Amino acid sequence: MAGSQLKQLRASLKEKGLVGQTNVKRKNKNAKTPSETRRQDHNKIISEIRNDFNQFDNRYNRTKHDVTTILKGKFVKVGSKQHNEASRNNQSVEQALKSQHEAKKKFRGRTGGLVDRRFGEGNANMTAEEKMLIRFARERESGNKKKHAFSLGSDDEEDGAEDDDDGFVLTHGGKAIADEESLGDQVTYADENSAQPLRRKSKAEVMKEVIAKSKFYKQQRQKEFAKTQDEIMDLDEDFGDVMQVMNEQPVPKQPIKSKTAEEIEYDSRVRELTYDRRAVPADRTKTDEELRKEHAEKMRKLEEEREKRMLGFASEGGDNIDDDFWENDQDEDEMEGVSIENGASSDSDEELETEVTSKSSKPKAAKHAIPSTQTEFISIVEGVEPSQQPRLVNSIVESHHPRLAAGNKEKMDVFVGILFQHVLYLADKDKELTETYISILVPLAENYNQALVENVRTELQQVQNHILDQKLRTRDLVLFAVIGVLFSTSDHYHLVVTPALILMNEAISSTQFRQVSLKQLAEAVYLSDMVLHYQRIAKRYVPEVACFLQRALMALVPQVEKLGGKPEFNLKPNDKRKNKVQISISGLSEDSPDFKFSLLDRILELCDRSVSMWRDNSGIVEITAPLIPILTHLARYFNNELTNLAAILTKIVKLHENAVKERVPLALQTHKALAIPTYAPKFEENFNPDKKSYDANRERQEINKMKHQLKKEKKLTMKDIRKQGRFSAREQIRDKKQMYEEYHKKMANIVSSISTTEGAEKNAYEREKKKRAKK
Amino acid sequence: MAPKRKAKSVSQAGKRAKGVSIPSVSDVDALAEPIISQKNYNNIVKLLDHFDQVITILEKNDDEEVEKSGRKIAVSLFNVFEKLMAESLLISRKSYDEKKTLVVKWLVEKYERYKNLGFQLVSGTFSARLSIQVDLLEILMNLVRLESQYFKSAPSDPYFASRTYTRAVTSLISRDCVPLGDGTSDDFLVFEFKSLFGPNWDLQFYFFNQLDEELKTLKKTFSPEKLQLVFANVYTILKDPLVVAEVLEDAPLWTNGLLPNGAYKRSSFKSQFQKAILTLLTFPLTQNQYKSVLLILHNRIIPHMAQPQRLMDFLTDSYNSGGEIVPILALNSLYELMKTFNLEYPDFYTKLYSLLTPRMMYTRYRSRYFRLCDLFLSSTHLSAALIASFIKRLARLALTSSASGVVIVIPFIYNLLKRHPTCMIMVHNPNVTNYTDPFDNDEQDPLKTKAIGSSVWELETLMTHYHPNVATLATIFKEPFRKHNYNLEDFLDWSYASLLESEKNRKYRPAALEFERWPKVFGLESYTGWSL
Repeated sequence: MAGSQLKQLRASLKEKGLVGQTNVKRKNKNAKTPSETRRQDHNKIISEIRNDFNQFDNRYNRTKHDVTTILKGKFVKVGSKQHNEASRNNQSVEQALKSQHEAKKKFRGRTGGLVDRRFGEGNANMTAEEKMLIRFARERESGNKKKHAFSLGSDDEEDGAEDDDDGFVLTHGGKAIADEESLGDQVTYADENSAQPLRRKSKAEVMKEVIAKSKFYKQQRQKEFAKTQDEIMDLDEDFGDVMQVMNEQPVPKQPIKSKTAEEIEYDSRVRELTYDRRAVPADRTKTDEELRKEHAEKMRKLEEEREKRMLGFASEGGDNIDDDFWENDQDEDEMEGVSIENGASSDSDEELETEVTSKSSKPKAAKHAIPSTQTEFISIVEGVEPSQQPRLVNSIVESHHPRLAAGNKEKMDVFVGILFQHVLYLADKDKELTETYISILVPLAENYNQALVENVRTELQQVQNHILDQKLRTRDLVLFAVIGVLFSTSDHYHLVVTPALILMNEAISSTQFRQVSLKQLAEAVYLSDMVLHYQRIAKRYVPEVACFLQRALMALVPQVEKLGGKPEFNLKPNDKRKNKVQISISGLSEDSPDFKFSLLDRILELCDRSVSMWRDNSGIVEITAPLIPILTHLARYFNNELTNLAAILTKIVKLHENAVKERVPLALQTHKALAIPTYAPKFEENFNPDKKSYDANRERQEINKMKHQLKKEKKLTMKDIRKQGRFSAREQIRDKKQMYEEYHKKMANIVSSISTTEGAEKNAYEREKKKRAKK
Repeated sequence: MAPKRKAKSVSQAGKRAKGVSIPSVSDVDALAEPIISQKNYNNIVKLLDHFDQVITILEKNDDEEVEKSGRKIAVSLFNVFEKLMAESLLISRKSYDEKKTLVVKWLVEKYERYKNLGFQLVSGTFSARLSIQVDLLEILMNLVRLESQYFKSAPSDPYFASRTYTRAVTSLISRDCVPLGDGTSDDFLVFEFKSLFGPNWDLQFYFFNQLDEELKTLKKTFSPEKLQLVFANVYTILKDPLVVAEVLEDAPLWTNGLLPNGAYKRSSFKSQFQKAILTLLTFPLTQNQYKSVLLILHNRIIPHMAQPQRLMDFLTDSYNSGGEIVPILALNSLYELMKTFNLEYPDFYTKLYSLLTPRMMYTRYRSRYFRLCDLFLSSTHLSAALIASFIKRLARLALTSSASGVVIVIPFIYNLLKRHPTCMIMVHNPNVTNYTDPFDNDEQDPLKTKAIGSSVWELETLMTHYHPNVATLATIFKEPFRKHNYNLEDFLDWSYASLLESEKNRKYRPAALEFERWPKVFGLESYTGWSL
C-alpha cells in the first residue's frame, strides 16, 4: 500500500466493501458483501482495519531472551511450539487415559449384567418364606395398575386383558399362578393335560370367577357363624341344669331382719372406733430444768441457722461473685442462703400450727368480723379501750385461724397487712399502742410471712420517694425499727432487710457534704443507730455510717473552724447543759443546746458502738483515725457535759494505738500460685534435614509414617480421578462434536441429492413442456 | 365586635388626652397603602411616629390592642421598605439626579430610624413576653436578608449586610434574662434566634465575626451582673452544635446570594470564633456558668478554635482552682488539649491525685472523673509508686464512700493491679516483721506517699460491706487474679436507686425472722433506745 494514511484507509475500506457501491456485480461471486453478512462481521472488519492502522496499540508477546532446555535429548526453546507440544503429547498418562477411554467406549452398551432387584434379596433377617410372600403380594399390587403407559389396547377390556398381564404374571404351564391358587383344586396342571392348548382367560372371565369365589366364601363363613351360634345357645340352655346338679346342697334361706336401734348404734360406734385415734400417753410434765434445756436447745438451733444465713450459707463463700449482677442481669437464685431457712421456717410453721390447733380445739364463735380495710379496722378499734385492744385483735386472729375455715388464710393475710399499716399509722399518734401492736405483730410474722413481707416491701418503696424528697416522716423512721424487730437482720442477704439497709444508707448519705437542717441530721443519726443495730451480730462494715459520724460530729462540735470545717449548728464553747433530754423520734425538730447535747451523746455512743463492732477489721486504724482529733477537740470543751466522752475517747485511742502496733501487711493471695503456660519452642539438638522424624517411639513413628503415606496416596488418587474425569469429559465433547458434524454432512448430502434430482426432473418437465408446446 | 372596638377606642381616647394616639389596624392600612402606590412617603414618618409611641406605651404596660396595631405597623413598614428596596430607592446610585438623590437620602434616614426602633424593641425588656418582639426579630433578620440582596453595588457581587446583623445580634445578646441553673438563659427571643442560627452558615459566620468587638465594648460598659446575663445569652446560642458541612459552600444560607470569599475560609472563622470565646471567658462568671461552659468546652468550642492552646491558661486556672467539681470538669478539655496539641501540664498527676477527696465520691461528676482517670492511668509505663498512691487513696475513699462509689472503686483498683503487677505487694506481702505503715496520707505528691510499702487493709474491710453484692465483689482481691479486666462502664453509673430497682424485682421467698425478743421497741432499755 502506498500513499497517505487517508488514502490507505479509503483503499482498505473499499477493499473490504464498506464504502462505495455495494451492489456492484463482483467478479468473484462467491465472496459476499458485508451488507449481506451479519452486523457483527461489519464491526469485526472495522476493528481489524483500525488495528492495522494503529500499530502502536497492538501488543505482541516477544521473548526477550531465548532459554533452551533439553527435552528428550534435544535442545528445545522454552515456550516454543515444539516445547509445548512435546510436553503435552509425551505425557504417558494422557496416552494411557486415552486408551482406557477408547476401551471403555468400545464396550459401552455391550457388557451386560444382572441387577437383582427382587425384594429383600439382600435381607438376611427374612426367611425364604417371608420373602416369597411379600414378593407375591407386590406382584399382585403391581398387577392392579395399568402396566403399559403406551399399550394401545388397554382401553378395550376384551383385548386389553390379554396383553395386560403380559410378562408380569408368574405363570406355570402358561397359566397365571394366582389363578391356579384361587381356583384351588380346579386347577389342572400342564403336566397332566399337556395336550390341551394353552388358553388365557379374559379379564371378564377372571373377574367373574373372583366374584363367584368371594360369594362362595362369604356363604361358607355365614354358615360357620350360624353353626357356632347354635352351639353356644345349646350350651347356655344346658348350663342351668348342670349348675343345679353341681349345687345339690339346699341352702336355707335367711329372712331379712331390720336392725334394732341398738344394733345400729352399735354398728356406728364400731365404725367410729376404727377412725378414732389411738390413745397416746400424755407427755410427762417436764421439770423446769428440762424446759430450760429444751428452750436452750431450740435457741441453739435457731442460732445455728442464723449463723449459716449470716455467712450466706457457707457454700456461697467467695466465688459466688455475681458478675451478672453488676452487668444488670438479674439472677433470682443468687441468694442461696434463703433457701435453707425456707425449710426451717416451714418446720416451725407446723409446730406452731399444731400448737394453735390444740389451743383452739374448742372452736369459739367468731366474735368480730375480720376487717378487710384499714378504715374498717380503725372503726372497730376506736370504741375499744386501749388496754382491751390486744385482746380484741387476738380474738380476731384466733377465730380466723386458717385451720378453721376455707378462705381464712386470705382474710388473715389482709388482716396482717392492716395490722402492719396500723402500727405505722399509730406511730404519729399513740406511743403506747404502737408498742402493743408491734408485740401483736411479731408472733404473726411467722405464719403470715408472705403477706407481711409484701406489705413491708411496698412500704419501703414509698419510703424511697420520701427520701428522695428529703421529707422523712415519723412512721418511716418507725418502719425501720419494726423491720429490725421482725426480721433477722444479720443475714447475708434478706429480702426485706437488704433493701431497708440500702434505703437507710441512701438517707444517711444524702446528708453528706450538703446543707441540711438539724432535723435531717438527727434523723440520719437515728438511721445510723438503726443500721448499727441491724449489724450488731453480723458486724458488717457500713461506709456511709462511718463517714456520717465524722460529719455529724463536725456539725455539732464547737469552734469547728479549728478543725477546718464549716460551721453549721455548732454548739458554742460556753454552752452549758441544763438537763439530759431523752430524744424522741417524733421530736427531732428541736433546736436547743440541750437537744444538741443529747444528740452528741447519741453520736458518741454510736462511735463507741461502731468502733467496737468493727474492731476486728484490719481497716480499724483508718476508721478510728479521723474520729480521734474531733473527739479530742470536743473533750477540750465539754468533758463535763458529756459524761461518756472521756471513756469513749480513751477507748478509741487505745484501740487505735493497738491496731497500729499489731498491723501487718496483707497477704490475701496465699493460695497456690497459678501455673503459667509456657510456649518455648522445641529445639532439636542434632537436626538433620534428611531425617523425617525424631520420634523415639518406634511404633508411633511407624504409625505416623503410614499416616503420612496414606495421606499422600489419597491426594494422588484424588488428583488422578479428577484428571480422568476431566479427560473423559473432554473426549465426550469431542465425540459429540464429531457426531454432529457427521450427521449434518449426511443431511446436507441427502438434501443436495434430493434437490439435484428434483432439479433434473423439473428440467425434464420443462423440456417436455416446451417440446409439447412446440408440437 | 363592634361594641368591643368602641370600648377600645374609649381607652384610646384616654391616651389621646395625654397626647398619644394609636391608629387601629385598618387605619394603619389606610396610612400604609398610599405610600407606594401614590408615593406618599410622608406617611412613613407618621407610621414611624406611631410605632415609637407604641413602644413607649408597651414599655409601661402590656396592652394587647396596642401591641396588635404595633405589629401591624411594623409589618406594613417592612413591606413598604421591601418595595422601596426593590425599586433601589434606599441606595443612591450615580445615575440618579439631584432630586432623586435627595429623596433617597431622606428615605435612608427613615429606614435607619425604623431599624433603630426595631433594635430598641428587641433589646428592651417589657412587662410581658411580647409577640411583637418576636415579630421584630424576624423582620430584622429579613431586613438583613433583603439588604444583602439589594444593597450590593452590582447584582452579581457577594455581599452580606453585616452591619445590620451585628446590631441585631448585639441588641439580642444584651437582653435581660434570667440565667437558669445550667447556665443557659430562658429568653424567648434568644431561642427564637437560635432556630434561625442553628442551620445557617452565614448567620454563624457573621455572628462570630463581630462578636469579639461587641463583647469588648459591652464589657467596658456593663456591670458584672449584666455581663453574666450576656454570657447566658451567648452560651445558650453556643450550646448546640454549629453547622458542620464538609464543603462550606454547600452549607445552607439565610441570605439568598453568595457570601464574600472570606466567609468560606474556615481559618478566618476559627480565629474570629476564638477571639470571641476568649473575650467571653474573661467575663465575670457565676459558679454555675463556669461549670456549664467547662461542660461544653471540649466538644463544642475547642474544635472550632484556631489555636485551642489559647485556652490553656483558662483551663489550668480552672484545674488549679479549689473545689471538687470545677477541676473535674476542666479535666476533659485539658485532656483534649494534651492529646491533640501536646499541651504539657506540669504536675498533672499530682493534681489528679489531689482531686481524690471524700467529697468527690459523693458528687454527680464522679463517673466523669473515673472515666478520665482510667484513661490517664492506662499506661503501663507509669511508675509503680504513682499507681500505688492512687490505689491506696482510692481504697481510703472507699472506706467512707457511698455504696455506688465502692462499686466503682473495687473494679478500678482491680484493673490497676492487673495493669501494674508490681503493686500486687499492696495486696499480698507476707513474711514481714516489725512492720509500720509508711503511707503518708497528707503528702500531696503521689510519687512521695510511699504507698507502695503500705497495704490496702481498707479493701479487706470492704469484704464485709453491708450490701451482699458489694461484699462479694470485694472478695476478688482474695482470689487469684484470673479475670483479665473489668469493664468499668458496667460499674460507673450505679446509684442507690438502681440498687433498689434490682431488689424490687426479686420474687418472694420466706423471709427469715428475728427470734430474739425485746420487751420494748422504743424508750429506755429497749430495742432502739430511742423513745417514740
